[in-house]
Amino acid sequence: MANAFAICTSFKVELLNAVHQFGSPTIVSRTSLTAPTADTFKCALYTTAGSIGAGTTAYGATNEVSNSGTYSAGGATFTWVAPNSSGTTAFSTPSASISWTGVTFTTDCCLLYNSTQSNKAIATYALGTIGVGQSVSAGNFTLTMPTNDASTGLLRIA
Amino acid sequence: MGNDFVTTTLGELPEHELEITLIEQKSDPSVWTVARECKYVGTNPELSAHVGEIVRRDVWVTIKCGHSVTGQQGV
Repeated sequence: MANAFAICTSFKVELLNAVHQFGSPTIVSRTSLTAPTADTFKCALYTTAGSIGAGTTAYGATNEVSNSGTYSAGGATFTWVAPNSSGTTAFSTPSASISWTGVTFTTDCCLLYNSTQSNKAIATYALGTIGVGQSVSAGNFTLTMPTNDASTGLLRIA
Repeated sequence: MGNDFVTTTLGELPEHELEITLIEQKSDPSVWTVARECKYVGTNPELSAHVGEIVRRDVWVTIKCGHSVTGQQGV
């Protein structure tokens, strides 16, 4: 086996676990330096008037869907499956579907963000055709996650 | 079945007064969507103006595939 240029796969998993610290950002304490607790993550939904995307740095309430049923500003809390790797890809996915009941809104995008770390943004996902979205009326809205693997996991470092 | 009540925009309605349709959308490349629409088809005279109206809509969105950050050199 010859030498090869590569980002080490273990490092990719460690990035998802915040093992490395390249800079000195101000962060919210994770209780212990040697055995830190996991942060709290949330999923917020946005109307078709929203403009979240790659430039989003943190959760904001502008153009978030209105409170109804079990949906309240900021969205719902979820947990990630412990980061893993397969081949040279590290990956993780929320551990369960995210759902709200008795809601009325139209949404075309969601934002996953770190509630513990000043609501810093992680990623946005389209929930259908942008600008059209999904309309729910006095009903339930369920966001089902892809299979948590190196091909389809919600967040992958390949 | 048929005697259960369903929460709708018109309040709690018997399931047998609703016409329930499942709508599947596979056209979008990033998600797979199933919607369940409940249309009022009851005979309550107080709700006659709402006959044919969608009074509840549930949606299930499945994200087919997440984001990938590539670490390939030169990409």
